[in-house]
Amino acid sequence: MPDENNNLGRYIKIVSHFILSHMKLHATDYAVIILYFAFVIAVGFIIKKKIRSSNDFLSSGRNIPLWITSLAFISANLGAQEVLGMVASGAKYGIMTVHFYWVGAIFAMVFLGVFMMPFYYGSKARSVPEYLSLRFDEKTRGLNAITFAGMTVFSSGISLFALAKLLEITLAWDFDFSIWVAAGIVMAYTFLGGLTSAVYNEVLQFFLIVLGLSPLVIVGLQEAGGWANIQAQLQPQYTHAWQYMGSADQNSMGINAISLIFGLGFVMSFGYWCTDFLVVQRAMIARNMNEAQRTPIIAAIPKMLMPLIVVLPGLIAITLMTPALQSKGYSIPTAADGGLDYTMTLPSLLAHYYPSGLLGVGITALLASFMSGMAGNVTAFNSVFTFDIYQAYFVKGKSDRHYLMVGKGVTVVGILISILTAYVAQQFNNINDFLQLVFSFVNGPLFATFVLGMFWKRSTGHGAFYGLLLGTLAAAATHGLTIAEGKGGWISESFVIGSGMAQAFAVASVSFIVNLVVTIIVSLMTDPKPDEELRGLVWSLTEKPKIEGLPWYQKASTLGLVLIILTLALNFLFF
Amino acid sequence: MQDRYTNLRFIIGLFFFLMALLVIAAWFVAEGAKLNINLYSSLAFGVFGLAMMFGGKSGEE
Repeated sequence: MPDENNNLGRYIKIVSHFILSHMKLHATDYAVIILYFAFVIAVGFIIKKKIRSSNDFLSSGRNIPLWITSLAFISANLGAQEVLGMVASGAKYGIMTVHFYWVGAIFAMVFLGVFMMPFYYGSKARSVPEYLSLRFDEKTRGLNAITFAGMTVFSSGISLFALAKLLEITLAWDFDFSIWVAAGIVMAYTFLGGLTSAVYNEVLQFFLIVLGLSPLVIVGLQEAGGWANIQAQLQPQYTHAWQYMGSADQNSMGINAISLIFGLGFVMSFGYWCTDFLVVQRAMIARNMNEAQRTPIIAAIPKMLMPLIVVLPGLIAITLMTPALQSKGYSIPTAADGGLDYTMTLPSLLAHYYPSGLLGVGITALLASFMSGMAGNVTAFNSVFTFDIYQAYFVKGKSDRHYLMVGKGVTVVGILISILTAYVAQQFNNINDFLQLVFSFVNGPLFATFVLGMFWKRSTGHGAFYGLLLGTLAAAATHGLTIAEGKGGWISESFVIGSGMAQAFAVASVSFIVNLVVTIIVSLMTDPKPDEELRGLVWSLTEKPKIEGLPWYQKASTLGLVLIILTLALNFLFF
Repeated sequence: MQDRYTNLRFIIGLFFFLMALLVIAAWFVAEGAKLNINLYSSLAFGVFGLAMMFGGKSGEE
């Protein structure tokens, strides 16, 4: 998800320095960290006994209960960057940050559950690229699989770099030693227990983050005098989500309501939540179709409430700095240029309000989110490489044991590439920016491919392939021709955009439209697959899941509708 | 997962229970533990941990 604070290298440098200079960890803090490491490895050993086949290792045997798939779904997106970044945005932009949740997530998650999961799950595809193979052809699958595998393994390396850097600071270890230990811990539990192990640890991470940060929200809210006082102390732009979205000039985000709704609420949000295998995989391992459909919808409940944990602390922090509350003695640290360093909002709140013991819990929550981010990427890489590259193009028709061994081998290779990337990340500060950019080029147009594939039976493999390719190139071209906050404009600085966020929305929107148009034109010029080959893959040719007789809360569509109403109500409440 | 002691609910519960013990130890040890945030938080972690460990049906994931 787009966020201008999303610069991992910078985060780590600043956060590490802050921890070193402001947080004094004690024995109990270290004990909490060690306890967490012991538990994640123990989970790997426990799950290992259950692994019998490649399907168990790479797809969890499609046997994971709903509450676990739902929490893993939300947790796969709850990395340290998300937590630190959203608290920072909360302090910088105020309540408008909730748009990333109440506009940019819930609707897409409900859409995935109600309309798209029947195809992902019902087609029995083991991955998102495999669905593309069944619906379109091998070249579309190959394009998606190769770009996705490349991006995930590099993202994993960047999470490893972050993890090692935090270990270096918190435990005073050498950086090289930290990298190998961090990689060793993640490898231990992903190699032993595969996807199930990663998913179980994601659930543990979810509870650690939510319960670990809740005391901060409660104490902070008390210190700030409650929501009523926050509203009284801050400028109205900080406490109204929509009132100042009429034009880009009226708000500090530099975007208007229309570009927000189309760019974030439609293209970027649906492109990420509905097609990114890292999150979709968590729903694809559910026990049955009904639970697969409900996974993203149940996950949307904590997602809807997440601003309480990650946006509200930012608002609390900025309120504590108003003249009326300066006696509380809290302030966001300043950056080298003299301005407020919003990146430091969460660590500085932790340092200010958490005593030894609870401080260890806070640091462990950050470590856990980096670790989970790495493991999630490695397991997604495993599945896509083994199923969609190795088995699809190189070695077909071997025994299941062969693919299980390959899956395990790929885990080791994925971790080794991650270590390499972590060292590259250490040398080049902007590698994460570059990867995030390429990721947005790849993910941005992808939703058009899926929406046409699932809902228009006339779309063809040639259409999908060229649409995806040209959509990606259009994304790169848009970025190259526009400049915002010094970023982009590497072809020519033809268009100046007010903010990096608005530029990201523009890139995604153009790539989506180009993909859509190209896919339609090429599809109309080429022959579609016969209807018989599209059953279970396209909406009009697929029998809908039977839901008669189920209570309302077990019906994905009814549950989704309730969530949409609640989300709209929240938007109105904080209008 | 049929064994109570190896299901995820129990594992998470045990983790939070042990973490609660560590945080409450920090509260006891800390000089002038005036700030009750450690105490309240550790009680919440402990209750959550116990509920996760023993709240579900035996062997239920």
